[in-house]
Formats: sequence, structure tokens, C-alpha cells
Amino acid sequence: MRVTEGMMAGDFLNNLNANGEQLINLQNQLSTGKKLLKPSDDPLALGRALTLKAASSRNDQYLRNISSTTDWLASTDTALSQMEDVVTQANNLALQGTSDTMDASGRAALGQQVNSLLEGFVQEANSTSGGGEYLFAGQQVTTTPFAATRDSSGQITSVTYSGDSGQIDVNIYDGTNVAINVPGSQTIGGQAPIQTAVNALISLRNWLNGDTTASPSTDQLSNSLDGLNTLRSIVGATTQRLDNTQSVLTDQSTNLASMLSEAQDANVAEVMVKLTTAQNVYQASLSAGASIMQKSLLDYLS
Amino acid sequence: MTSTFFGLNTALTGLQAQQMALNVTAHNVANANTDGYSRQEVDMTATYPYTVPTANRGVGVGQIGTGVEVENISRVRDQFLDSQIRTQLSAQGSWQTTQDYLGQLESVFNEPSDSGLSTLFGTMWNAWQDLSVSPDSTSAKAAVVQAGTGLADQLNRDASQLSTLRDQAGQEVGLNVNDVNSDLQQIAALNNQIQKVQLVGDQPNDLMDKRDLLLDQLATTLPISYQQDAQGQLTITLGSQSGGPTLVSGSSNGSLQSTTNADGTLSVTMTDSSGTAVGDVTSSLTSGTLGGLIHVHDQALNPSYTGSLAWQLNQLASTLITQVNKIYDSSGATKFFDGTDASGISVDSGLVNDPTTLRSGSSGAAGDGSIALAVANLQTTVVDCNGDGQPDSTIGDWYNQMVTKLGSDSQQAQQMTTNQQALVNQLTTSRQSSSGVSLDEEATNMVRYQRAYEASARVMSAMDQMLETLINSVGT
Repeated sequence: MRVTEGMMAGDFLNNLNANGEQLINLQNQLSTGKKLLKPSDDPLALGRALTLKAASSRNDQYLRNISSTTDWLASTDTALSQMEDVVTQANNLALQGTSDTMDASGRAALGQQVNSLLEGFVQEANSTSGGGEYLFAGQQVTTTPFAATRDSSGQITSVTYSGDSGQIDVNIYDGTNVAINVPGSQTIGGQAPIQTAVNALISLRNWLNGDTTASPSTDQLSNSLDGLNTLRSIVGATTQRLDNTQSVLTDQSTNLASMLSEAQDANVAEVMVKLTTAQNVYQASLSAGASIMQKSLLDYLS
Repeated sequence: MTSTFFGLNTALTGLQAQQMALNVTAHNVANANTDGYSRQEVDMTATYPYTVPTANRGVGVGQIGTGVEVENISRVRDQFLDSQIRTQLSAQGSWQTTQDYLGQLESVFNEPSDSGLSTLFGTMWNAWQDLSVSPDSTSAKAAVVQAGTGLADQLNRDASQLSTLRDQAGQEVGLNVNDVNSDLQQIAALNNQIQKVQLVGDQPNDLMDKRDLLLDQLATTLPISYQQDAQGQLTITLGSQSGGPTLVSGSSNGSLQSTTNADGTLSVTMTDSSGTAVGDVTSSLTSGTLGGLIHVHDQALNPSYTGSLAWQLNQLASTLITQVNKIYDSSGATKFFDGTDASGISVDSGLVNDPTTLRSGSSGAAGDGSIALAVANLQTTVVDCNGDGQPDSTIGDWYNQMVTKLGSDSQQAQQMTTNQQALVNQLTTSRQSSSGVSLDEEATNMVRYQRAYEASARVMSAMDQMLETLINSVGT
């Protein structure tokens, strides 16, 4: 074949460009740590990476959602357990009060105790989360759910529920919502335990204080205790469910992160080896070009 | 019997021919780096021999040579290679253009990165989630408005960059048409000159080189077929198959015009070399830069072209607007997003001015985050993205497949460009091998011609001495 200077120069430049391109690609991979720098580098891996990134972002959000409910659920559980304690104590006082050996002044003293238990109960029923939102108000989290009406002496005569029955749903997984609140109006076995307990406590106090129209309401007390128990177990089950989901999501986050890395991150060792090879090739082509192109027959003709 | 001075003239033709050959060598060396130049060769031939045709001529030596003459100065050119190169140049032209534009589009969408649309979508969905957990929180509402604005802005920017690129492609079509017209004119003018030179009996080597270079340029822009007649006149027709409308015939040339249609697409119309309007020839532009540009302008970047990237982006934005607004307020009284497409999408100005008016829940209760929750759940809901009324994919998947398709189109264009480039390079090397100037070869020729010139001169001086002997020494 006839070889001309133009061929030498042209081929040299083409090859040098190709080598340079290879070099700059590897250099970019190494300096960014990613093998996927633009969609055309690997369209399939890009599709996978985008899906994984979205899934991972959602996962993190679900974890954030769950952890933001922890405080709420714990507060609810504490409040319910306090209410149970109050009702249990009131039940004991009712048993003492209904004993035939108890006289009117003794009952009045018990009535005092029941009154303070009632105050405590209403306070628990109106307890708030760390963020100042009422736990038992349904969705009306800024309204005091159990508003007490008091007589001239400051005693609670009745309590009305002013929240609603709305659920507060939290998204814990794709398309899965969990209600984290227990509205004060929630009924167990046909009656709302909190309201029932309040009414029973008022009735018991009045009876102990000598109001003959009132009753000691021991049945209602034990019913509401069962109801409160059930509410607590609902909250417990929700907490359990969220805990499980949380650990599943945490595992998934790790998996997603490693799959994402698989799809888009460069293998540094491999790139390093390729880069060294590419560098050698590039330098070799430079030195070959430099030594061949300098000489021609004219150098040897005198 | 030849004349006494016969040999002097033979030596003279030698001197002249070698000198001519040296001149051609000089021309070759001077043009060693000229684009499109083909090396020239001197075709030397012995002149007609001297004979004395008489009947009584005694037996003796035969015809005597009378020297040398330069019959022709020819250029070394492989026409077959030329036509192969031009076919490949056309294909390369369209792929290169496609690759350039798709490459720019890839950087518009900037994926995968932390600033691309996919990240902004994620930020917005997460902001709605946060709001669903604290429906009454002013900061969560502000974050939703902020994230929505960020997403809308990015969609606006992408749409505007797409439209800028489209305008740029349209302008390039105009420039290419101008270039083609100028090339056609020059080729027709060269046809004319070449014919004149050939009529005198000379070889218009350098003019033909120029014409071949123009033909290469033309082939990069358009698919062309051509043929050359005995007078060296080139007839060029449009299209890779012969029989298309005539672009150049002899010294007359046709022209192209680009026109914008009512729907914003571009058409190329043509007037042929006889001045007859051929009409719309856009469909003939199957390869070449011009065809590539029109494809980019009328399909990939045309928002009205179903399936194009610009269309997909608008579908993405309009689906987002419709679906979010539908959940945000089913009565339609208030909106979260305003606008209808990617260039017009924005968060409702009322919300931007006062984020506290954002509706978290339908009941308005402080703890009702039902709307926020439903909007957040939209990210995993399969909805109608392609506009056929049937749910087809989630909004995120629609975007993913849009970018993935861009990636695979761009990858294909890159591979095709690389392949075409390799083919063109290989053919160009072959062309260089036969037509290119080799300085080593020219140096060798230079020595050859120089020595031959010296020898001819030496013969002449020998003759001179011979004549001196004859004239000055004989008969004195």
C-alpha cells in the first residue's frame, strides 16, 4: 500500500482522539465515583437507578413518618394506662363506699378522693402530644376534647366530647395507611370508654356525697375499664405493627442503597486498572507519532 | 540521414519534459496539505520517431527517436472510492446531527444527579408526606409550596431549553439550505469552467479537485446521486437513488428553500436546474445533516408530535397538574398547580403568597391530613399519563421511561456515529493512499527528474563540443 503523510497524520489524530476519549471517560468515572454519568452511558441501568432512587427516597420518608408517630403512640399509651389506674382506684373506693359499715362522713371523704380522681382522669383525657396536639380529639387536635362544665363550687358536673371521630392516618408503606389516634368518641362494645368512665366517676362522687338520685355505677366503671384496656391493646398493636414495618423498611433501605450503588457506582479498582492501561496506550501513541512523523526522505538527501 | 543538429533538439525535449515534471512535483509538494487535493502525475511519452521513407534507402539503423513530450498532466483519483465515501458521509451527517442534539438533551435533563427532575419529584412527594403527618404545621405547608415551586420551575426550564434547542435546529436548517445553494452554484460554475478548459484539450485537475471537495460537502448535507459525462460535466440529482429531481445539470443549478408550515414544522422545497418548481422534497432527505436537523425539529423536539421527548415532557407536566389538582380540591374551586403544560406549570400564586391557605385535609380540621396523604400516595398510583384515558403508569415511571428512552436513543446515535466515522475514516485513508501527496515519493521524483535534466543538459553540451570540433577544426 502507498502510505502518505496525510494518512499518517490523519490516522494518528483519529487514534489519539479515540485514546483520549477513553482516557477522559475513565477519568470522569474515577473523579465522580460513578459509572453512570449520563443516560446514554447505560440506559437500562439508568432506568433501574431512577426507580431505586425513588423507592429509596420513599422508604426514607416512611421511616421518618413512623418515627414521628412514636411519640404520639407512646403518649397515648401512657395516658390510657393512667386512666386505667384512675378507674381501678375509683372502683376500689366504690367497693369501700358501698360497704354497709361505711357511714355518711366516711363516704364524703371517699367522695373527695373520687373527685380528685375525676379531675385527674379528665386531665389525662385532655392530654397532648409533644407537639401540643390533643391525643383524643379525633382530627380536632387543637380543640380541648373533653370540656368540663363546673358548678359554683368548682366541681365537674358534666363533661362533653367536642372532638370528632376523625382518624389521623399515616402512610407507612406504598398505599398502606395506619390510623395512629384513638378518638375520644371511639366505642368499644357499644359505649365510649372514656366518656363512660367520666360519667361513672361523676355519678360515684355524687352518690358518695349523698346524692340519692345518683348510683355508685360500679358496673359502668368495670365496663369502662375493659374498654380502656381494649383501646390500649389497639394502640399496642399499632405500635407493634409500626415497629415491625420500621425494621423491614430499615432492611430495605440498606438493600436499596446497595442495589443503587451496583447500578450507578464505578468499581474504583477496575477503573484504576483500565485507566493505567489507557494511559500507557495514550503515551505510546504519542511517542510513536512523534518519532515517525518527524522524519522523511528529505532528511537524508543532501 | 538526420541533420547535424538533430540531437540538440532531442536533448532539448528532454530538458523541457524534466523541467515540466519538476514543476508538477513542486505543485504537489506545495499542495501536500491542501484539502481535497489529488496528487498529479506527468504522463511522458516518446515523440514520434524520425523515418525517411524512400525506396532506395540503404539498409541501416531503423527509426531514430526524436525525444520526449509531456502528453498529459493527470490527477490520481479513484472515482469509485469517492462515491462510497459520499454515501457514508450522508449517513454520518444525519447520525452526527442526531447525536449532537440528543447529547445536549441529556444534559438538559441532567440525570442521574441530585438536581434532576427525579430528585425534585421525590422532594415534593416527601413534603406532602410530612404535611400529612403534621397537617396543621405552617412550616410543613410552606415546604410543600416550596417543593412544588422548585419542581414547576425545573419543568419550565426544561421546556424552555427544549424549545430553544428546537429553534436552534430550525435556524441550522436555514443555514444548511444556504450552504447547499451556494455549493450548487459553485459546482455549476465549475462545470462551466471545466468544460471550457477541456475544450482546449487541457486537464482541469485542480478545478476538478475543487468540485470533488464541494461534492463531499454536499453529500454530508443531502443524499445525492451524480454522474459525469465525457466532457467532464457533472449532473447531480437529489436522493440516494438516481432519477430524483436535478440539482445541477451542466452550468445551471437548482436551489432549495426552507419553509415553515402552519403547524410549525419545516419543509424543504426545491426548484430544479431548469427552473421548474419541484415542490416539497422533505421526504427525500433520508440522510445527511439537513434530514437529521429536520427530524430533530419536527419529531424529537416537537411538542405536537405524539411520542416525542417534548410531548412526553408536556404529558408529564399536564398529568401532574390534573392529578394533583383533582385530589387537592375535587370541587375544582381551588388549585394547587396552575397551567396546562411543562412551560406553563406553576404553583397557584395564592398559595405562594400565603402557604397557610394550603388545604391539608378536606374537613379543615387541624388534624386532618387526608388531602396531603392522598397527594403523597399519588406517587405510587398508576394514572393516565399518555392521555388515552386509561391508566398506564405512575408519574415517576413515566419520567423514568422518558429519560431511559432518551438515553437509549442517544446511545444508538453515538454508536452509529462512531461506526459511520470509522467507515468514513477507513475510506478516507484509502483515498489518501491513492490520491494523497507522499513527500518521500515527491523527493524521489525530484531526484529522478533533476538527474534526468542534468543528463539531458550533459548530452547537449556533448553535442556542442562535437559541433565545435566539426565547425572549427574541420577544413581549416
